[in-house]
Amino acid sequence: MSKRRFFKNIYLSLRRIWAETSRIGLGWVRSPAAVFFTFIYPIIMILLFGYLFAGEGTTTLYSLPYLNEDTYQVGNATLPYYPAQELLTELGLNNDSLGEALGIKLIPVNFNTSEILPQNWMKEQNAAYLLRIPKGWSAMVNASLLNASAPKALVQYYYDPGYTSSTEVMKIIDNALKELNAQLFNIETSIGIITTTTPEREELSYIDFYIPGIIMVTLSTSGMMGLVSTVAEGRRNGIIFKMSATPMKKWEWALAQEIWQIIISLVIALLTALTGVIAFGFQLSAIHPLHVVILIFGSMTFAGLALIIARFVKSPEGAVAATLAFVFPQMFLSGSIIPPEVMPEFLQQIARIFPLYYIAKAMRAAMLEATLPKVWLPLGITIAMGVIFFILGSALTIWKKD
Amino acid sequence: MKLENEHAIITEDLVKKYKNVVAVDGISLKVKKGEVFAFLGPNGAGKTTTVEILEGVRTKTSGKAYVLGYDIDKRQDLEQLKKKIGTLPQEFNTHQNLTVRENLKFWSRMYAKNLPIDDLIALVNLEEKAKERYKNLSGGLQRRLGIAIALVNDPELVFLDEPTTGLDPRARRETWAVIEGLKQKGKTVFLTTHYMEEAEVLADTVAIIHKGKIVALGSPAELIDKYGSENKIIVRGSSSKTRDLIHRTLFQLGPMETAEGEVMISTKKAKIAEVIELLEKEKVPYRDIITQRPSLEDVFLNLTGERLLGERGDED
Repeated sequence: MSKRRFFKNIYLSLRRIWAETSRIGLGWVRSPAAVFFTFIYPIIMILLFGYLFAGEGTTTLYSLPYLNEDTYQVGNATLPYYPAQELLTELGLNNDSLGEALGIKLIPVNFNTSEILPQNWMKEQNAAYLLRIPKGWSAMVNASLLNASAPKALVQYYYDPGYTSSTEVMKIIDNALKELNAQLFNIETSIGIITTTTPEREELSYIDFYIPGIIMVTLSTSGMMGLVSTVAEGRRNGIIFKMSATPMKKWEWALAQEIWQIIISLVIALLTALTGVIAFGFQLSAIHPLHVVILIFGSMTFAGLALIIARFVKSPEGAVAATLAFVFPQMFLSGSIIPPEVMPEFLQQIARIFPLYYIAKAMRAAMLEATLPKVWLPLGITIAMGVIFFILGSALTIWKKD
Repeated sequence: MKLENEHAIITEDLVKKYKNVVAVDGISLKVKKGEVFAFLGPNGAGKTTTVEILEGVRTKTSGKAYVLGYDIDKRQDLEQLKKKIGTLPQEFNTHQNLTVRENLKFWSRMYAKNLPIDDLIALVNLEEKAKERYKNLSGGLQRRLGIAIALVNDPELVFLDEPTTGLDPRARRETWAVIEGLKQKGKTVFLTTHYMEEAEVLADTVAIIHKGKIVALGSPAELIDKYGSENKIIVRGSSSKTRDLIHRTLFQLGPMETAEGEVMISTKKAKIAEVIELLEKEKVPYRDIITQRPSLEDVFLNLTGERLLGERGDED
């Protein structure tokens, strides 16, 4: 092949790729639904996961009903020292700022336990938990102060196991009791904990770690679902086969799809980051230039994966179901939203089969380590996946009728 | 097999099998350069499958095919071939949100060689719809755009798969005019159709395909001569009495059928003038006389025992 012909072929190839890429872009711009969901989806994702997992926004306050049956009297006189009152104070009674810090709001309730059992009362009132300070509890506490061998003074905690927050509330009560123990028995603590972050993390808050992960989750779900459906529809309406009757090559077509995915990924990433800045005070300084590289190859990975899935999907109707079966486990297991270390060991192993696991790792490494020697491994895996999945996706695309 | 210069397409024993179905069953044909070749057959006969194999869009099971001198089994040949052909698929579709002009521009960019977009728009009379999006066009206009798209690269050979299916008679005749224009420009047109009139009007050569096999091949006139029925001369009288008189006068011309008020003579020899002369001579009154030539429909019926236009859908 002559040099001139070689360059002409490259020019024609690039022209075909650009024709398809710009065609997708033009079709997208003219589809109000596509534009709306492309923009609204990342905003919903960042707001949803930001509030859910990053601990930002309004503080959650658990309403804790308490039944105080205890009165502390000697003879006819009520003594001023009243441990039940002390416990309630430790839990934020009449002290809203302490209650908010602890995460609970005390609600006094009053009913006669000889007439209705606390469990039944909870059922009737649809209450998740109940703290009961039984009659004589303060006297028992004071007896313990005088006599170490006196029986333990116990409060009662009733809870509905259907509420995951019941364990949290129990821990708060337990901590308040420990605090009270230390005060009553004059225990001086000489051991404790002091917290220090690693140097790279000093200026970063919780949300700064989450946003890059959420960006990748958004890209993987919206990008993959869109492309799988597009390919399945293209096969059904015959446009892909019409294309295959022209000089356009399969890899050129696949590359055009990948380029569009990269373009839209950059838009989504920017939009998500800006929403993060506005809603949660995300620090743009947390973004490292390597994130752009990861974003590009991450998008290539998901586009390649979408082409692979599309290979096995018969109809556009099946495309959504097939993609969801992949993206949902990936979303929750990859470590982008839920840290892998809180998952059971076997799930941590399963997480490794998802590309997002490595991409999220690379994102985090680029943010925290920020030096190439420490980032190269996850970054290298991300780049390799982008190239391999593109080649596989392109090769597996159905370009001819059987 | 060697490709002769005067042939645009040569196939030999082309076969396409699916699990339990033989869609194309040993098709051998030659299409001359510059002719309109019609593949005539009912839905499901194997027309589209054959065309798609020749376009390089569908894999074949066995056999050989050369298109414009290129061996479709060879990848490099196929790449070269795709630059020189134009295709209108049976289920034609293009990008919904792009206008007529944008669609033509898009498909033009697939090729090194292009015809001017305005010329293509004018060719299919879509000037007034050039800025209209594809999804807003009627079925007939969409199909016309499909033909224009098939011509964006000024192809030597155009495959038109059922180009007029679903069109109204006017749109059909406009499409025929475009195809005749292509022929005048020296293009080779490979046309599939299940409309016998379309094949008769447009085609230089017709291959009748039935259940994956070619059952007859030749010009429409040759096929009608060879496989068609005899001419029919129909004489219409005003009453059953007249009909009996006609019958008695013309009985020597050939086998006759009678119906209410008319007599139908099947004959290869008799001419309408001869019939009139006999009727005048015997002073037999009649209302009118018409002749009915056999068509490709009759050819198909005689060859396969089935009618060409069945009740099935349009898919092949």
